Amino acid sequence: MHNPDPMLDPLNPMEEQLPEGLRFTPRCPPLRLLLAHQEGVLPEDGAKEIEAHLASCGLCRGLLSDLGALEPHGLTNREREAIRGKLPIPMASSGKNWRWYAVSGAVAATLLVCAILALHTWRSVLGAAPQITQAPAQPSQATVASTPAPPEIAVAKLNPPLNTAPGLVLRGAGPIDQPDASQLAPAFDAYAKGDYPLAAERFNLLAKQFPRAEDPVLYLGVTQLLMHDDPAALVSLTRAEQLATTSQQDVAKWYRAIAAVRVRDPEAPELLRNLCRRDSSTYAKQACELLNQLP
Amino acid sequence: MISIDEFNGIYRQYVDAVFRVTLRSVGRREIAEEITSEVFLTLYQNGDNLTPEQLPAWLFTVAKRRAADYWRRWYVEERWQAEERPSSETATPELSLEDLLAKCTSLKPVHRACIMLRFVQGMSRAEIAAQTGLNELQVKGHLQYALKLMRDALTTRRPASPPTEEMATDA
Repeated sequence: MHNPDPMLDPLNPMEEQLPEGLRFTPRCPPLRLLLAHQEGVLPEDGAKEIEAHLASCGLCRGLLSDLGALEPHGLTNREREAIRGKLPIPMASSGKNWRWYAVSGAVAATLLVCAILALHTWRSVLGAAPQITQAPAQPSQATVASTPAPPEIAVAKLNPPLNTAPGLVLRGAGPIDQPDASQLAPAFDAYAKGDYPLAAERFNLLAKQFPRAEDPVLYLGVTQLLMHDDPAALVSLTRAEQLATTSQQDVAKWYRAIAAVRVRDPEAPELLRNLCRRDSSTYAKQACELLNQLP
Repeated sequence: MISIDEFNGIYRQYVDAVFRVTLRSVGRREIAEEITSEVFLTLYQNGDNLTPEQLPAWLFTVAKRRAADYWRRWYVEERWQAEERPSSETATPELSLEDLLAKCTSLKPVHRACIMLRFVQGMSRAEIAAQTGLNELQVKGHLQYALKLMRDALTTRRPASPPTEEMATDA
């Protein structure tokens, strides 16, 4: 990783050396071990070693925090081709000439028409059967369509809390067991951009770091729902409901109920019934509708 | 096995995300490349029992398992202590890097990250650029800006006044 040859590394000139008289912690673990530890993929002994180092090294803790706002370069075309080249699977779209495109275009158009007809037929056949088509969204929420929605229920994306908006700066120190806006921002940034795997990783890290904070685990659960990782979402949202303040209780209950429906948890009808009875809740009407559609 | 068309659709949709998760888990692009291809091969061979609702979570789970396998092997074969580390001790220690970075309050996370990756992790400019999503010129500018602030802070022993980043980049 380190390149000692000054001819190959133009960062070595004197003006790019650390100031003299400076001391810093020697032998920090390589970054990739720190990141792998964050991802939870190190074996137990290795993880303990990194945890012990992080406990005593503010530089490495700071580095991980600072890197939270930065993204490594994505997949290059060369890498994408290399990965595809290693797979012994033909590329269906490797057309030979314009005739191939013309034929495949015609086939695709025919299939599309057939699919639309089949969909209409399917709907008319199942019209009377109880089915969950879509969870109604809160008025201020946008329905997510970027990830493949499961056929039975779609999830409305929960808006981030206001204190993570870029234009707002929190003044003064917050509670010690709650992440501040700057710590939450990278996770909500990925969430807002629809990068749910990254958002889930960041919320998960915050949830571990601040086990009493409600927002990380609530949004972790919602993100997992959006990724269709429903069993994990149910665990997160059950925890979120336990931690939620009064104002967030119904939000956590609603998303937990959706997760329960998706994994066919026997408790799902009861969760919806409880929410349905709460007349003052924003989610009461939606919960009642969903409850009525359950078999 | 799933059909080739289904496979290609899933591949196009998720290859970037799977690579990103894998890269964060193993830290080397060539290894992430290898594992990503293994993940999609596993999908092709075993994907017939999968439902659309299980994607992409299933892909990420396989990727993380492969990454965990990689680290298990790595820990058997070599230890991080054995990796080449940059020399970091100086003859006359006066101030720790951690204290100095804390003293330079004008440094942003990106500046501190560049300094750490360069001088603690021993990365080249290209490696820092790949890790941070910046280009090499930006990395150079951030490093020069941060080093100027750090030198000023050491010289004056007072909170450093921030030069403009353009000045440092132009220097």
